[in-house]
Formats: sequence, structure tokens, C-alpha cells
Amino acid sequence: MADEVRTAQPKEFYRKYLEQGVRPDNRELGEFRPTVLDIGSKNGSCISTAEGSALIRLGNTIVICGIKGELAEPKTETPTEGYLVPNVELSAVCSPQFRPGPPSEQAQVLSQFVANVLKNSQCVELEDLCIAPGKMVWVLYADLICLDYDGNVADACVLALTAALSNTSLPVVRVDEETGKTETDFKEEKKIQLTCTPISATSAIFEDNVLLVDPTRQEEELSTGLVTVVTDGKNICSLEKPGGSPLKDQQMRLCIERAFQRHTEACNLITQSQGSTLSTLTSPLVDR
Amino acid sequence: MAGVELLSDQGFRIDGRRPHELRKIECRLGVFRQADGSAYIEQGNTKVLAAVYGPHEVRGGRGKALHDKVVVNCQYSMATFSTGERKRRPRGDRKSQEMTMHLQQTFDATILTTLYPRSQIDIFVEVLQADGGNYCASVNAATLALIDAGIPLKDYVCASSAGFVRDTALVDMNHLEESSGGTELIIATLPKSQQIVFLEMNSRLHEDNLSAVMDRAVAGCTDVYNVLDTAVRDHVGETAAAIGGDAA
Amino acid sequence: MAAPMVKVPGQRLARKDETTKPGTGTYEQNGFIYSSLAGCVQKETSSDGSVQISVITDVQQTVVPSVEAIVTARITNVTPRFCKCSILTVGKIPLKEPFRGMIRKEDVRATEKDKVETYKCFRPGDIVVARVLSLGDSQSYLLTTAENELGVVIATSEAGASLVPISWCKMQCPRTLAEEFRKVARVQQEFLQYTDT
Repeated sequence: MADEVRTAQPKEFYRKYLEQGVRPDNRELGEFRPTVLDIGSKNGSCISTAEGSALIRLGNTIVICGIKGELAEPKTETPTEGYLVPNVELSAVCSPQFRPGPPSEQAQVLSQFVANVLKNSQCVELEDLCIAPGKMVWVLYADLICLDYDGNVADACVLALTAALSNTSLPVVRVDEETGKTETDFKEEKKIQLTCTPISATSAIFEDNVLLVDPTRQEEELSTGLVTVVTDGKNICSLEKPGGSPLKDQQMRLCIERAFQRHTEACNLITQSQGSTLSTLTSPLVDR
Repeated sequence: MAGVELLSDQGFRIDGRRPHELRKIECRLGVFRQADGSAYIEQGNTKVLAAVYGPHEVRGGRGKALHDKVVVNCQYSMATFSTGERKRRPRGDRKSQEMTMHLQQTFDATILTTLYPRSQIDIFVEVLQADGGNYCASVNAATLALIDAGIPLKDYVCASSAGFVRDTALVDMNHLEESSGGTELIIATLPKSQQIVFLEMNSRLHEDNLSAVMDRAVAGCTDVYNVLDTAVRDHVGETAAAIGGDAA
Repeated sequence: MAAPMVKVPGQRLARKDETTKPGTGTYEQNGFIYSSLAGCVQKETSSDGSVQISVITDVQQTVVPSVEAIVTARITNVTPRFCKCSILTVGKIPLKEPFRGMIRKEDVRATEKDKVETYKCFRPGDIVVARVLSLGDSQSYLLTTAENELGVVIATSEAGASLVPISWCKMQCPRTLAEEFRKVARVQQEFLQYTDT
């Protein structure tokens, strides 16, 4: 009976739950879904062909991030800096709502969002990626593939990216000044140093007055607006509210508070999950 | 002289396997929630995911729907970080298109298509890490995903590859062995009925050696079948008590 | 109770003869019945002595609307000639992805088919129970509500409240007491459940 009401009148279904202060999946309004993280590097499993990788399972949303480094010429405005190119892929694998074809608007917006997070938080020291100023730098391609779409892909992507970057190591490359030839030393590896760990927290606005943190796909569909706050533990790196219902001051403050809480949770998670295999995919599913 | 490195005098391959040994297979059904059926398989270092959606309404306009059978739509895609060198185009290049077509033809022959007229079944395969045997792992993962989705199949489809080095047939080749330039035979069979659904061979092979290589490959398929069967039975067994079917 | 036996696709179940019949989840080939799903075997003996073998799984059977099936749909478009709807469930099984359906003007009612005004029978957003007439064209299934038990079950009034049925062609809004025209489904007495609103 509940399933039929859920299909036929989803808003009513949610309204009845929210009156009691809980959500249909037994979460509080400010609670994140259980998160599992698998981080690996070239030597430490996960994806061994990538320089750094991470798989995150946020409730039922699964995102995998692979970081690959390539050598390239630096951009003319910034000859001593390398650069990062994030790319989010929302393909037909993750949900029936995405059709095969060129990247949808949503995927492109997410890619830009992740790029903004990297730029605003300055978590990677771009000068570290420089090998020979003006001639050769590292380009890090961060490819985030969503495998299972159940809402809040933005938070999952940011967390996966931060986790993957925290365990990425690049081989040392030396450029001979006279001949211009490059020498790659695969045995010697340098780990990327992160200056901070940016973590995001998204809330969905339901019926103008209820804020649901970490919305599922159905909650996103029923919501009237979304707010995303990215923090690095001390500062707010970015705040996004693309349209949607207007919010009062206190509601915004609540979102920001939740973002800081999430940051502590997420950092603990990252430190605990270093160097694991893709066990979330091979181990039995925890009852959701 | 590639043969010298690939197979040592004692009969060991580069990764320490014997010529008839498959790589370690680890698999899991029901990995995703959104998809109707999903599976994850690891064959050695090759990691492949498969997701199945359907049967659902045919998309892509009128004319594509078949009045008497289901349309099987496949998509084979490799993650950009799956190979040693970053792959620029995850899908759409010729090799992926070819793989897609092969998968589609293979499963069109195995699914009981007449049960769902005017509908479409989507099979999406995503290669997370490629270390040889991509097509084989894709077929195995897709079979598991179809079983997980509850789509009726004639039988499992198991695939395996085999090569020929220094007068010995090797089964389940990894990337190094594949790219050495020797023969590679990829075969997909229906194990119970011993029928071949797909066969592809690259490079030259003397016809005297063909039967040895084919036998090795078919034996590989049977070994794969045993592993997949155990995984399916475990997965169903976990939920069998809830259904309470009759012992037969 | 003995542990149920798990059968996998391609596994032979029985020999096909006059008394055994293949059921769901099985197929017949070369005189034998094979399983096509991974699940447990169920044998049903009917009154004439024949046994039907089927394989059942716990996975929600993905069904496709078939002819003569009762479906629940949400009306999306209403035009003077037909109504377009999106099929949500087939029988009791909800679909993951809605299928498209269409109710033609002449299939709305059993009587006075030509005098039907679709706008007075359905409105966009209504939930209706209908029967599948045919697989239709490549665009949508053809549905019919030309029976007493078929028609609108849930509808929202212009004021936003849930409409209450008064007769087979009228529903009333509890808030404004305004009456609206709909082709209402007659629910059997024993299935009626009044809730406090």
C-alpha cells in the first residue's frame, strides 16, 4: 500500500513523514546517509592503472574517481603552474533518466562545480605540479564516473575527488636542461600534498520551509531548491544556491553548520579508509 | 622472440600461472540499486561492471520497436583511467563500437526475446581497469547482471580467450600476453549445451594447432561457468529461504 | 522443511510430456523443460492431474503491460479526441520506468460513446485504473476505461484537495464543496476504507 501511495502521490507520502520529523529511510533531517569509502593508489590496489583512485558509496549513490597524470605544456598565463581537469560523467549506466549520448547539461554543470571547488579551495598547490617552468608541467585529469545515481552526486564527487587526491602519487620527472629530454623515474614517487580537504554538504529545500540534508533522488525531484556549501574545516570555500525557493538567514546558517559537521565526519572517514581494495563492490551489501 | 618471455622452460607464464590456469575470478551480483540487475567481476586485474535496465519502453523514436521481440541495446565503455595511458574517448571509437556490436549479437541469441515484444533491454558495461580479456570479462559480467535482473536466458554465456605460444595453448591471456603479437582466440559458449555463440580469432595460426587452442578455450569457458554458477547459487541462496520454494 | 533447491538458467528441470507443462521462468527445447531464471522451483498440480513447473525469483518480476491486464496510470494530456497517460503499475507490481498509454475518446465509456467530452471525464494528474486493449502503435499502449470498475480513483480538485466520489460521473471537493465531472471507478464495497482526513 505504501509503495502505491509512493508512486501515485509522492509529495503526500513525504509530507506525512516530515510531519513527524523523520524521512522514509529513517534518517533525521540533518543526517547524512552511511558513507563507505575505498581509497587506493598505484601501489595500493583500487584502480592500479590510475595514479590515484577512490570509490565512494553514499547511501545508494556510487561514484568512482580516477586520477591520471600527463605531461603537457603549461598555460601561457601561468607558466609555473600545472593544472587539474575534472570531468564528471553521468552516463546511462547510473540511472534510466540519462540517455546515451553527449554529456547532459547536469553533467557539465557538475564538472564546472567540481572545477570551482578545486580552484576556490586551492587544495592542491599548483606549483608543485611544475617540472620545468614554461616547458613542462603535470596535468591531472580527474575523471569521476557515477555508477549508481540516487541523489546528491555533487557531495559524492567532491568527497571522492578529495579522497583520491589524498592518495595520489606521481613519478618523479626530470628534464635535461640542454637536450630538453625528459627522464621519468618510475621507482621514485612523490605524493601530492593537499593544503586542505574541501568537503561539501548539499541540502534540498522541501515545500519552502524544510531543509533535508543529503537528498536522495526522489527527494531531489520533489524539492523546490538546492543549497550546497563547501568548507575546508576552517573557512567556507564556496556557497551555491542556484535559484529555487527563497531561504531565511537562520536556514542558511543551519546549512553552513551542517557543512562543518560533515567536514569532521568526512575527514575521519578519509583517514580510516586509506589503502583499501574495491571491497565495497565485492563484499555483501549492508542492509540499506 | 616473444615466446621466450611469455612461457618459461618450466612451463610457467609471466604471472606464475600454468598454461591451463585461469586468473583469479571474484564476482558479485546485485551491486547497484538503480539498475534492474548489476554485477561486478574481477578477472585478475581486469575489473568490469555491468548494469542491466529493462525491459522498458523503447526509446529513440518510432520504428525501432520490434513487434515480436525485445530490442537488446548494449553499450561498452572504458573508463578513461582504465588503461596505462589515459583513454581520450571512453566510447564511440571503433574498437568500442565493435565490442558493443559483438555483445549485442551475443545476448540477442541468448535472451528469450519473444517474451517482451515492443520493449527494450539495455546492457551497459563499464571497464574500470583493463588488463586483457576485456570482452570475456564483459560477457561474464553481463550474464551475471542479466540473471540478477531476472531476465529469462537460455543458458549462461561464458567467455574465455586462448593463445598459442611455443607449441602450448594458453588460456585467459592478460594484456602483456595479448599485445605480444601472437594468436588470440576469443570464444563465448553456452556451457550446458556446449554451443558456441561467438568466436573471433586474431593473427595467424596453423590449422593443425586450431583444435588444441579451441579445446583450451572451451575448457576455460567451462571453468568460468563453474565460478559464475557458484556465485549465482550463493546469491540466490541468500534469498531463497524468504521465498520458500519446494525442494525438487 | 528441506532447503529449497536453486535452479539456474540452462538447467534441465524435467522431460516434457502430457502431464508436465512449462510455467513462468522456464522454456522448452528438444522435448525437455529448462529453467530460464535463477531461483527456486515450484510445482503446481492442477485438478486434471497435470503438473506445471515454474521457477520463481525474489527479484521483482519486471513486467511489461500485456493485453487484458489491469493497469494504473496517471493522466498527462487531455485533448478532445484522446487522453495520454503514463502507466505506473501493472496489476500490483509498480514499474520502474513508466510506459506510455493512450485512452481514446470512444474507449472512455461503454455507453453513449460519441457524446463523451474527455475534459469532463479526466484531467491531467488524475490516477486512473484501466485495462490494456492492445499493444497499440510504437508510441503508446491502448487502454480502455469502458467498464464500471475502471476509471478515476484519485484526483485533486482545483483547490488542491483530494476529490471524493459522489456518483459515477461526479466528484466533490471537501474544501470548497464544488462538484467536478470525472468518469469515476466503482470500487467494490469490501475494498472501501474510510480514513480520517
